[in-house]
Amino acid sequence: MPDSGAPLSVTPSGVTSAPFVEFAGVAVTYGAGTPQAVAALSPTDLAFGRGEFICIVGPSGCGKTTLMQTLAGFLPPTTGMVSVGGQAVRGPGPERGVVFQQAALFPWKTVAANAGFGPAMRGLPRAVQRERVEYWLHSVGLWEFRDRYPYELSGGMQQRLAIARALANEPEILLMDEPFGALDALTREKMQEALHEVWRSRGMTVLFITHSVDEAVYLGTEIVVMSQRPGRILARIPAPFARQSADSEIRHVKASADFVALREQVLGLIWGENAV
Amino acid sequence: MRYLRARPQWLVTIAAIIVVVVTWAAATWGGLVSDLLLPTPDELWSGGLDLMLNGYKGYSLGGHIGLSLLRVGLGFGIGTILGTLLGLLMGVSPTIDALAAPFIEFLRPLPQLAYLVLLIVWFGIGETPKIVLLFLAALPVSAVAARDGVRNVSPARVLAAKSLGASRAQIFRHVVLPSALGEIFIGARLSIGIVYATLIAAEMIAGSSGIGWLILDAGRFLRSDYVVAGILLIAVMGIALDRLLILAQHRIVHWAGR
Repeated sequence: MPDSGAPLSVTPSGVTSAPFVEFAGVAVTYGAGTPQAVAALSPTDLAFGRGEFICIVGPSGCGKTTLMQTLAGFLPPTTGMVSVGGQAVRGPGPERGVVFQQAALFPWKTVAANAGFGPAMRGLPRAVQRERVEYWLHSVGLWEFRDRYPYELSGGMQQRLAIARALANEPEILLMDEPFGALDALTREKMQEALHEVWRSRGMTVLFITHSVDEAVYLGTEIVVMSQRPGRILARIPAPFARQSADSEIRHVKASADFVALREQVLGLIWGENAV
Repeated sequence: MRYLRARPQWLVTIAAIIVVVVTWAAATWGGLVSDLLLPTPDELWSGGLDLMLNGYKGYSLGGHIGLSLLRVGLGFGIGTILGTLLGLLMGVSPTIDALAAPFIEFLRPLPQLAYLVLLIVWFGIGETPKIVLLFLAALPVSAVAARDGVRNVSPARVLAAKSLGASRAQIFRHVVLPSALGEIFIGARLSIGIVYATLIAAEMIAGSSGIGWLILDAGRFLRSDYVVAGILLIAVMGIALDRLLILAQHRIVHWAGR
C-alpha cells in the first residue's frame, strides 16, 4: 500500500517544492570581535522545500548544532540570515519545534502535561489541548503513562515524550539534534521507524542532526555532509529510501545493496575530508 | 562495604545509645559525677515529670514549647517567604541582585549575637526583637538559595519552553520556579537549622518564657534535671521540625534527585 496516508506536501515522486527554509550566507563566530573568537560555521547557503527531511552529518564540532540553533532562533547568526517561508527568523517560535539530545522534559509535570505544554502555553481551547495530547501520546505509545512523571520513564520513553511534546504543538518544522544519540541500538531503530512513520503521515519539514550515517540514509530525503570546524557544506546527496513504500521493514531497507552503497558513499565523503 | 555488613545498622545505633545511657547511669548513680553537673536517670525522670505536670515559672511546659515554636514559626516563616521572594527577584533581575547582594552577603556570615544588642536597643525587650532576630537569621540563607535556584535552571528547558511558545511570564511560572523549588527547600532546611540555633539567643533577651529561656534559667539555679530535660525536648523538637520539612520537600519536590 504505497503512500496511502501521505499528505499533499510530500510528493511521491520526490520532487521538492519551492524553498521553504533558507539559510543565506549564515556564519557564526563565537566571541566575535575578541581575541578568543572561534569561527564555528563558515558562511553557509542551504535551502530546502516543505516536506523535506534533511539530515545533517559530519564530525563532532563541525557546526551542525550551531546551524540548527540559528534556525531554532536560539542563536543569531553573526552574518547572514535565516528565513522560513520568506520570514526572517528572529527568535524561537512554536512553528519550529525542537527535540534535544537530552529530552529536556519538565520533571515537575506529568507525562500528559509535558505533551500538552505547547498547546496549553499558547492558550488553545481545552478540547483541542486534550485531543492533541491524546493523539500524540497514543502515537508514541505513552498513553497508559499519561499520569506518570518523566523520571518514571526509561530513556527511550523520555525521548518519545520529547518528540510527542514537540509534535503536539503541530510545528511546521521539526528540528532534531541527535535525538536518538543516547539510546541503545534496538530502541534507536524503533524510534527511527516511528519517526519515519510520523513524518510520512504528517508531512512536516524536518531538520535532523545525527552522527549516524546509517540513520541519515534511512530517514533523510537529502543528506547534507559537513566539514570540520569551521563547518561548511561538503556535499548534498539526495536519498530515496525515506519516500519508499511504508511497509518495507527497516532491517530489509538497511540491508539492501542500494542502501549500503549510498551509506558507503556518504561515509567516504566524511572520512575523505577528515584525512586531509 | 555495605554488602559485607553482618548485622543491620539499626542494631549498631541502638547499641551505641544503650552504651551512652548505661555509662551515664553508672557514673551518676555511682557518685562519680555530682548531680549538680548531671542528673541521675531517676532525677531526670522526676524533673521531667515535674515540668510536665507543674510547668516552669508561670507557664506550663506546653506554654513554653508553644511560645518557642511561635517565635521560630514567625521568624522562619516571614524570613523564608520574604527571603525566597527576594532571591527569586535577584535571580531574575541582575539589577536587583546588584542592589541586594551586598547586604545579603554581609548579613549571611554574621553571627546573630553580633547584632542582638542593637535589636534590643531598637525594639526593646518584648517579642519584636526576638522575632526580628530569627527573621534576620532566615532571610539571607533563603534569599541566596532561591537566587541560585533560579540561576541553575537548565538552559535547555528554558529553550524548550520558548520554542513551544511560552511567554516570559509562563517560563518563570512553569519552568524557572519549579526548577528552583529544590534549592529553595534545601535553603529552608538550612535556615530552620540556623533559626532554631538562634532561638536560645533570642530567648536570652530579658524574657521569661520559651524552652530556650527555661534551660538558661534552670541552669542559673543549678537544676541540672530541668536543664537536661529541656535539652532533650529542644532536640526532639528540632528533629521533628527538620523531618516535617523533609516530608514537605518529598511531597512537593517529588522529582528532585531522580
